Amino acid sequence: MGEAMVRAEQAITAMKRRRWIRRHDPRLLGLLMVMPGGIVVVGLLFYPLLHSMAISLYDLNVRAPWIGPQFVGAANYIRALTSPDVRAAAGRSLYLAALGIGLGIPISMAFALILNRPFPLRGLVRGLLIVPWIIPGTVQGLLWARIYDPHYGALNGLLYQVGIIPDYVPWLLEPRRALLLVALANIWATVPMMTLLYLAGLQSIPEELYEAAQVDGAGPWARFVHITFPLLMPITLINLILKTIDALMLFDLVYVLTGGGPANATQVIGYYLYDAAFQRLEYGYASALAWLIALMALGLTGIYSRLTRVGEATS
Amino acid sequence: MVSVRSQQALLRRVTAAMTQAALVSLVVIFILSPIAWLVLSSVAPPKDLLARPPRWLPWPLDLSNYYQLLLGSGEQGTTLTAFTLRAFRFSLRNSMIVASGVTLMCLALGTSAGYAFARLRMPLGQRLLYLFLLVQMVPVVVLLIPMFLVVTRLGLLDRLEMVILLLTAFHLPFVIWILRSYFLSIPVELEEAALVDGASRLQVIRHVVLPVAIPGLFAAAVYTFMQSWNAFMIPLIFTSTETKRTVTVAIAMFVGRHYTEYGLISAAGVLASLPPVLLAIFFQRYLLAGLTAGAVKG
Repeated sequence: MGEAMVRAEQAITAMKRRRWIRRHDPRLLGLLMVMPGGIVVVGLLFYPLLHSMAISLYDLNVRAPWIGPQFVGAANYIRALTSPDVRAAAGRSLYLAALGIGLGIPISMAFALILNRPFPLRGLVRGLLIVPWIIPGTVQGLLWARIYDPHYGALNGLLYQVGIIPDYVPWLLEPRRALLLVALANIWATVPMMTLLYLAGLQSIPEELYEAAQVDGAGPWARFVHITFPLLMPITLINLILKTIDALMLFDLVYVLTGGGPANATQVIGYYLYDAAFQRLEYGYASALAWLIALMALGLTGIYSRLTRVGEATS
Repeated sequence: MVSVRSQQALLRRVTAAMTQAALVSLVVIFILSPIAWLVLSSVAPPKDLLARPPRWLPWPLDLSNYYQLLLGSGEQGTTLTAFTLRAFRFSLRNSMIVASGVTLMCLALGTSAGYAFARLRMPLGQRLLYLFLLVQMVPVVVLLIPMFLVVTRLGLLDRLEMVILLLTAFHLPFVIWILRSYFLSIPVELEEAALVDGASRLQVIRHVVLPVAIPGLFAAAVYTFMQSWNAFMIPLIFTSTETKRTVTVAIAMFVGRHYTEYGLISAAGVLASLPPVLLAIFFQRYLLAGLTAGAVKG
């Protein structure tokens, strides 16, 4: 009884104190503190956002300034949706995503399982995982250009020395192979991040589950199929979505490694968009296309954040 | 009997340890071998690098590429002029300016706004925060065209200040978000006690909140510095003079123009990667928190 009274009294004084504090602050202090950042966000993000919507409905006629901007309605969107070039570029990005998922998810899951077991220098090796991801994209392009180099590259040197190829091969000259090699370079950069996410996922699986399974006589493979794999499913979905968004946005690596070539074979959608906007100066069309890509990415991000919320709620 | 069994157990343990070591080496090779090739290319004497197959462990190490890039004055009669080298050194300096500038701006604006969102009442309050976050979700590419048109019309192209401002805008919402969460995690009683004792809100922020928030500020700083050091599309589009380029753009141009200078471009790549890699190695703990939260960003 007395304890409850004391607690109620404490609550009342805390409330009073808070009300006093609230009055104590100068009026509009919060607004003043948000203002500088707010101006930057509104002026440099929110305004361009609206402006971009408007531009996507116009043909700015940059190449023919005497005509001036013309309102074209949905024409830019229709053109983007029906253009064979866009379809081809989007196809390449999806190929990148599919390969990144098909190869990247098994590899990163295997890596996470390997690194989750105790071994000496574990912290150091896990630390290394972050390195490919933080190397600037253009340096990644340079790195792989050095590896795929037709005359003095490591790939040629290695395969030649082992005897797999009789002579050096100009790897990036063949269109389909070039896209595959770009995809592999991209997988190298994204697998470590996926591995880190899987490692976090593995740590959240309770040890008792494995112990119980072992008591029931489940072997390592059965334990993986019935415990690890299903419980990592949320992470797998997250990796799947992140990889897809990443493939939609890929630009730096392609810019340096292949420049979109040969014969547009590696012109992924991110590169096509840059080309349409800043090389061909088709601002209206490029804005419409950018919005279509953004809507796809936003949809994926929406699913992503719902998944992570579900993940947080269950853990 | 006992010794045979324990020998078997020992054998099993040794094989397990060796398998594990082999598997871990596989992971390490996957991660490091491409990087190793770049580093080797940068320090290999030309004849080792140009051999078929290349000499994988070049000797003696040749640091002349680094010397050229950092201190050299170019060679007469080659494509590699003093101007190119000077432009590269400028680009390193520019990246340093841009990344530090963006980090400072984001910290200053982000601390102020993040604290306000965490602790102060204001009209529109949380709704404004969600607006910030929503804008942040839109991929960079959408905003670039109007930004470019406006910046061109204002005559502000090819200015590092503009690059700093634009990158600040892109990273600010996220910085506000992580700083706000950090401020929310600090026990409010600390601040209340100081306020009741007669301190003003700004004094409380300076003397009570900021000292406690240093790890959060640090995480935001490391993340922002790395992201803006690695930024490519914005500096590519908004700068044009060789002396205004950031290092990521300089690398792309370097590869396009001097690709056959294998050793030199490799050394340039290593130099361009050093700041983010060193930051990541030293401040991994801070970085991971930021990265996992920021991974959603397009």
